[in-house]
Parts: sequence; C-alpha cells; structure tokens
Amino acid sequence: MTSSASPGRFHLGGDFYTNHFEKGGSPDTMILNMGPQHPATHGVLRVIFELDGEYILRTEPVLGYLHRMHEKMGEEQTYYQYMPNMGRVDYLHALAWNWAWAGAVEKLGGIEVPRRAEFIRVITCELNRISSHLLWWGAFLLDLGAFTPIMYAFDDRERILDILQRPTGSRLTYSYYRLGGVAADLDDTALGMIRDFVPHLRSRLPMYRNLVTGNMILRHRLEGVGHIPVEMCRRYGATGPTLRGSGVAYDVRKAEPYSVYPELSFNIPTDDKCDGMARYNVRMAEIEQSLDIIEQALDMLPSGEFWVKNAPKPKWKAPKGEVYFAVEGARGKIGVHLISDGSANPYRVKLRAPGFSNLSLFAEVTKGTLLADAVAILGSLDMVIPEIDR
Amino acid sequence: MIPDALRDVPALRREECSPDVSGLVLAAYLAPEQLRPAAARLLEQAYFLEDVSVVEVSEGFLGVYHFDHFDTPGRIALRVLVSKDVPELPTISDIYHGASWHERECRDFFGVIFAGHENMTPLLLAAEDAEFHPLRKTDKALKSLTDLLPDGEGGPQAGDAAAFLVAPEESEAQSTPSDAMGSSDGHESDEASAT
Repeated sequence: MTSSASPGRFHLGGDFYTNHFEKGGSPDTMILNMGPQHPATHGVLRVIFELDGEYILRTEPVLGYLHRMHEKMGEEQTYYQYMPNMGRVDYLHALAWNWAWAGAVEKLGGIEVPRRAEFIRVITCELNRISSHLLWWGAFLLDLGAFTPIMYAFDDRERILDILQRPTGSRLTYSYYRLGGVAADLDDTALGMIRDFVPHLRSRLPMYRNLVTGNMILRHRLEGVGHIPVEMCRRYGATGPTLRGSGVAYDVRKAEPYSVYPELSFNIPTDDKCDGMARYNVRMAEIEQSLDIIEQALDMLPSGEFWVKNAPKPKWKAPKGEVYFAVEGARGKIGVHLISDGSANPYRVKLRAPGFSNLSLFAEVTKGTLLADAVAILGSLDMVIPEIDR
Repeated sequence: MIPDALRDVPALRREECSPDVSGLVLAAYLAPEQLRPAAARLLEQAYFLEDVSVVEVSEGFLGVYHFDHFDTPGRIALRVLVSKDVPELPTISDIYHGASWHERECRDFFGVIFAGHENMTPLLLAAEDAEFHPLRKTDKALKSLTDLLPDGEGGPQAGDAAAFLVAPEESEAQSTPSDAMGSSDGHESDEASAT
C-alpha cells in the first residue's frame, strides 16, 4: 500500500493495517498473521499477533474482508425487499435475523402476527438455532484437532436442513418470515419430520457427550483457557453463550420477551467458570432447551392463518417513527434499530450483530496466552464473519 | 420510570419511553460534554453497551448509544447531536472498551470523529476509502430530526429534538423539570451492588 493512500487526517506511515500494531520494544518478538484465509477463522477474518516465543503479547483482529454494507442496502430497499438480506448477515442462524427484521418492522407498523405464525416462527427459529450450534460443535472440535465430530454434526444438521427446506425452499440463507407472518405453512409432512427429529437428536446427545465432552485432550485445551469475566462482557457488550458461560442468565427470550416465548417453559443454561469449557457446556445445554421448546410449541400449535390477511404489500410505507427490536440469536443479542421517515424505505437501519461485540473482546482475552489457546478461544466464541462485517 | 442511574446525571432532556412501542425505557438527550459522565455512571450501575451508531439529520450527526442491563432489563438510549462543521463526539471507548469498534465503524460510515479514541483507523472499509462515507445522505434525502420523530406517545418524540437547540449554559435549568419525572424517594440504587 502506498503512503499516499492514507488520507490527511489519518496520515499514517507504513502498512496501514498494521500501523497501530508496531512491534514492541523487544527485538525477540515476531509478528504473525493468521488469516484472512485460515481454517480456524471460519471465514475471512485476519488476526495479527505479536508473539514472544509461543506467548501472545498483543492481538489485533482486522475486519472488513467481507463487508457488504447491509445497512446502506436497508436504506435503498423497501421494508419487504430487505428480508433476504438477513439470511446473508448470519447464514448459520438466518431465521433469527429474519425475525429481528420482521419484528422491528411489525413493531413500527403495528402489524399483527397470527398466533399460528408465532408458533411456526418459534419452531423454525429453534431448529435453526440447533443447526447453528451443531455446526459450531463440529467446527470447533475440528479446530482443536478432532475430525470425527463434524461428520456426526453434519449428519444431524442435514436432517434439520431437510425439514426447513420444505417450508422455506432453501437450505442455508433462509428468507422465510414475512411482515405479519411466515411465507408458507408447516404441512403435516414437515410437522411429522420435526416430531421424529426431536427424540432422535435427544438420543444422539449422550453419544456426543461420550465422544467428546469427557475427552482429556479437549478438557486440557479448554479448561481455564480464555477466561472472560462478567465485567469484561459488560464493557464489551458480549451476549449469548459467551455471556452465559460467565454465569449470567441473560437471554433476550426472557429479558425482553417477544412472540409466544413467555408461554413456553424453558431454562437459561449457565456455567460460571468463564472459560472455553463453560461456553462449550452452555451451548450443549442450549440444544436440549431448544428441543424442549420445539416439542412444547408443536403441542400448542394452533390452527388458523400463517400470514395475516391484510399483510403489507412490497411497497408498503411504514409510519414515521423509531423502534428498537431485539431477539436472541445463536451467538447472542441481535438488535435492529430502525428509523422511518414515513416513506417506503427506512431512513436508517442499524444492525446490532452479537458477534461484533463478542469478537471485540478477543484481543484482551488472548493477551498473555499461548498461540494454540488463541485458536481455542476464537472457536469458543462461535464467530460468523459475515455477521461481524455485515 | 427513569432509572436511578441517570437521575442526577446532567442531561438536556430525559424522556420516558414505553418499551412496547419503541423498545426503550429512557431516551436521554445530552450535550457532548455530558456524554462521558453519563456513560461512566451507567457502567457504575452495571449497564452493558449494546451498540453505538450515528444517524445523519439535517441538523448534524446524532450519536446514538444503547445500553441495557443483565439483571434489570430496560434499554437506555443516550443521544448527542453534533454539527456537520465539527463532526466530533467524545469517545467512550476508555469507559466501555467495546465502544472502540463501534466508534471506528461510525467513522467509516459517517466520518464522525471520536475525540480521544486511540486508534481511529478504518475498521470495516478499505483504507483507500477512508474519506468516503457511504451512509452519508444527499441534501435531498436529508430529513430534520423533528420530521423523523413521531408525535405519538411511548417513543422518542418530535418535541425532544428541541432539547438540542438549547444553549449549553441553560442545560442545567432544562434538566430540572424533567428530573421531577423520576420518583423522588431519593433512596440509593442497589443496582450497583447487584453484580
């Protein structure tokens, strides 16, 4: 990069990205780049380390390799048209982002959602949460050197994708929710598949645990590694399993109840050890909670409309106003801050991505740890890079 | 009800909101120099930082800071308006470390500088585009703050924007009447020890 590329106010010599990352005083340290194309970053994330031997002196994540300016696209598209973007923001828990957008616009416009649609949203969103956690489980263990688990995880995850493909028509970047409901009803075949899936996954979870959770290599890699105290979560705004692995029972589904979650009984799993193993345990327990939620929602699923009759048309104009709506995604609190000037397009869309806040504490956590631990810590945070960059 | 956390922090205006309508319990309108004390006060009361963003309006740039609480949920929005000529907000990244990336993102998108931030290099956009701010609007698309906010109850309202038109030396006098909105029992908040 030429120095002329650095504009006046931000005039910086040398490599622009590493400028803030000059080597420290000691001649014995070295700079190590991980990514942007590294298997353990699970996407295009670059991390710069300054190392003293194998110990990390400093860390700096470099973002922006996948930035697509989703917030600008929000201003260019109508409320209705913007929905497919949400599946691209976090492709592992696309339905939670669908929900965050639909919920924010519905709150702004005072749009009613039929009860059947609410339950369908709960069922599909929780299925999607499980599939996200399963992929995290496999990929995380792959980072730590275990290959077999990801094959098991994909086996079960495929079943979820098969189920969700029926109503949504896609297998990854779902765009299924609509303003005032969902795009298609869950038919009897889909409901039967879900009914079969819940006990199936329950029967698999003990095998998951036997295979991995007690494994000495895993425990040595995770226990006491990546200590994230509650105070750090607060300063960085970390949420989701990262926060619950620090012993705080904070879950948007309970803290800011939305949809029909108050009618369902489920727990918020926590583990107060604050280390990688705690975050692992929380996610495994969350899979069980999601299965409970799905089963209850299936039993309570009412008949009726799945999409409100007078649903907003594609060029629908939202009333003037401002709204903030949050949902609990697989990685934490997803927030949509929406400002409308009364036209067909939002005036300003702000997407609060949980991964962005979770990753921002990575530099502080890895300070002084081993390089190999940094890989374990990054995996335990469950990063989805498109969500962080947006 | 206005949380204890903000009752004695100087503000131009405090507005109770209904979470069912706007997702907020409180919107506070601050002068730039009031932001850092307010943020420090919120950290003391164990609030966590949700996000920092900017909204461009014809009056200038509105910095929007969202906070929430792990134990007693309720979103608080702090708002600060700065002019287009001097688009500079005080940083809170030394108080809430997570604000660092959010503030860099705001600089990328809007060109708002956060004074005191230790590293204002581009975060998400390319270094070559450091002077291009994609979320800035054309003059035609710009709306005034009073045009954007509705007149209805429960959320931030059009009248709130007037708070920013008050001269800073009058801010003390302005904050007194809205103080009366909070309960005046005066007991110490126990939220600080709730962590």
